[in-house]
Amino acid sequence: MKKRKVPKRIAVAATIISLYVILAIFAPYLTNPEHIQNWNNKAYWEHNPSNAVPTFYGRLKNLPPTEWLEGTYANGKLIFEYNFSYSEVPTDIILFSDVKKQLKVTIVTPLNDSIAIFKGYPYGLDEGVFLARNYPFYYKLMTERCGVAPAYFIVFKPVLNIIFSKPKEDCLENPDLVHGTYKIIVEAVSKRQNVRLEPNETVRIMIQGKSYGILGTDPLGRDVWAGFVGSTRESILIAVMGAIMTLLFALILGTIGAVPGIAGRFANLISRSITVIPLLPFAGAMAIVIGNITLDYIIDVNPVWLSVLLGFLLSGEASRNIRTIVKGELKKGYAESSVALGGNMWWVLRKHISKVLFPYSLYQLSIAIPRVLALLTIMGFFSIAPGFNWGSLMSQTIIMGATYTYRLNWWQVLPVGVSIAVLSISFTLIATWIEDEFIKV
Amino acid sequence: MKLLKEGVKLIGRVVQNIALLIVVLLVTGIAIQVATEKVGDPEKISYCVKSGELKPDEEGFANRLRGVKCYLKFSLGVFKDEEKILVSRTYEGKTYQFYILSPRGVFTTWLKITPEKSIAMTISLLLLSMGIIFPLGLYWGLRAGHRGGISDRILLLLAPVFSGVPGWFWGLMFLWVLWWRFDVGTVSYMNYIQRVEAHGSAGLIDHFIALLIPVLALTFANIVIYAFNVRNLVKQEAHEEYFLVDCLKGLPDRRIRRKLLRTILPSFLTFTSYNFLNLVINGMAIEKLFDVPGLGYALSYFLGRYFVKTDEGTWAPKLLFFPEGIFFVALVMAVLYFLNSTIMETLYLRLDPRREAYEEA
Repeated sequence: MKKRKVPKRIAVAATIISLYVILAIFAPYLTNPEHIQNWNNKAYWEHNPSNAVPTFYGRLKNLPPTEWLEGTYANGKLIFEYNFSYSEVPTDIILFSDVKKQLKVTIVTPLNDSIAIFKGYPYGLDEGVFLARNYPFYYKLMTERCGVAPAYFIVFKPVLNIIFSKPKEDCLENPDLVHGTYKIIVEAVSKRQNVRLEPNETVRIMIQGKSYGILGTDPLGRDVWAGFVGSTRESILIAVMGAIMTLLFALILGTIGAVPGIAGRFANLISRSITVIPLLPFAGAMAIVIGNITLDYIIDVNPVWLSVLLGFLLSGEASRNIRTIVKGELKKGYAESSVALGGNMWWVLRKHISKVLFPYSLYQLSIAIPRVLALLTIMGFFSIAPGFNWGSLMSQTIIMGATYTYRLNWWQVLPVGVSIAVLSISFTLIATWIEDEFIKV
Repeated sequence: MKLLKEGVKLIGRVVQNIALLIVVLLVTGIAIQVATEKVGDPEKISYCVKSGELKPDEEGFANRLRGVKCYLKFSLGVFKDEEKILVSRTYEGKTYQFYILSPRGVFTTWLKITPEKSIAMTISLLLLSMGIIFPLGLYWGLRAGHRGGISDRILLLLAPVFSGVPGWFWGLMFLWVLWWRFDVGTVSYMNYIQRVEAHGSAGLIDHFIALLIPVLALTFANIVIYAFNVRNLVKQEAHEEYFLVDCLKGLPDRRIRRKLLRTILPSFLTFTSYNFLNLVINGMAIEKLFDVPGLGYALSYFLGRYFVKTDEGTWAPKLLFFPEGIFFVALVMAVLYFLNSTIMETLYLRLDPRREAYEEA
């Protein structure tokens, strides 16, 4: 038997596909599974900065990362040191504590200015106090520290500029940032009695930076890496199963459609109908029909059923091609001889035609995977991609881009976009190779 | 006699296509009705239920057919120039009459565009793209298939990339490169035109600028695929004897290519016909991405999950589902396909000398 040499590009394509399959298998171990489970729970993500760039990009742009500060206990106080050397101030500073005492948070700047930014009861370890959201306080602080009251509304402005910069008139909009070590001192206070923090009491400080994690965050503060990894498993599953379904429907409709008789005519009608069906409106309606609508208005569909739907919708063209191949083969001498010798049509199909269809099926399978992925993401564009996959992830990116920021964060678009592109190219290369090696004579 | 025979064949094909169109619309309409029931509150979301033409609690195939008929009536009604229609409802023995917005009124109020403009936008986008894809794709494919060389090598290199990567990806790439980086074109057709109209009226050039990135994206996504297909067809023809004879005769390249073009055109038309729906879908995604008020834009307003602002000022998710609107988009898509298919088959009949092959398909 002639040994076939696999070209390098096919080896690379196969490696890429294997890597994605591995990513799909080990997805829950590559990120916090809680992140994936709580993907649609807005409250779960509220402590993350919204629209934060990936950490590696933040490093290039010298943006503050999102980090937990280490505190040291001394004389009933907890002192957190923050080395600030960035081009912009952090988005917020969040205080988490389960103590039942009144707490006071003071920031000591490298210029030795001491600014008390919070005095009150913390909301617990889950809630957190967002120290940069007390806008009336920052209005007053700017007036005192920079010598001029803000001329406009300061909500959603980078109010920490007032603390992290030299005191001057335009300290909010055009700050001269002061780099160095900032001390955030947390202590217990009370007017009536002497109170102090005990070493066993929990106080944590989180710096909500401008960059976060491997792939940044979306407008809701959700970890894009968690979303990408979490949705990969379902996406790969739908792509592979959808392609298998495409092939299955195409083989059934194409083969039966080539056989004369009522069954053939009926299969042919279905096959032709699929090629002309208005794909997006039909797919949108069918996604709702086969799925459930959750209280949060998410279309929840079993990936297997979704694969069947996508496979059916994409089987039109493939079934037409298979029909043409089968018809062509049935006209060849060997098939006609078999029939003349008393061979049943189904026997001829099984014995002879299936051998011809096998390599073509492999080719179709490879080419159907990128098509399923493309359709899934196009459904995502119209917010009708059900489940948690690259399609729904893309849909959320597009919707949020329009709703919240009117922009598309590249760190949200690229992982899904590049993955689909790379996987599609890999499968297409394999399909082309199968076509060259096994189909074309 | 030959012409009459061809005419009869063509009429037969058209009848077949019409039958197919009816089947497809019936299936889509029924799917939309079942989905409407699943979404719930048909009185709120369905125009046909609101106008009393469809009873949501009735079941059975006859009611489904009535539903599809009503959807069709709505879809055709959007072209009637009336603002309101009078509706009668009987409640506890008394008949009440009241006005509701006409289908056209609903459409224009919802989308702020007329249905004619919506269809014209989609067709313009497709025609502009096809206007570039067709001649360039054919020329590139013919040249690569006939002469080989660098154009063939580039095509072979790009074909797998463009066959696999979906069209919207190129849309995003152009958006990133042209609009964000170089400020060429616009990200939102609607915003751009409205801005221009605020300072006067938008001319043809303004529309071209606003459509630049969508057209480029759609063209870019498809041109290589079309050229590659032509190239493969030419390569197959290159094995034929007549081609060798022509080459040995020393005929000029242009004449050989013209001959090749005529031979491969029927097969190329088949490919174009199959690929048309694909092009429409990609075009719809591009429309959604760039706010081009075509069919894709309309569909995105009729179907999907969105965040809406609540009375408390927070964002809450909402599922938009307007069955009649979805059916309207499905109807226009199906009619576009029908027209494309009929035109292609007419051309096919005229161009393909191999009638038997035609009859086989």
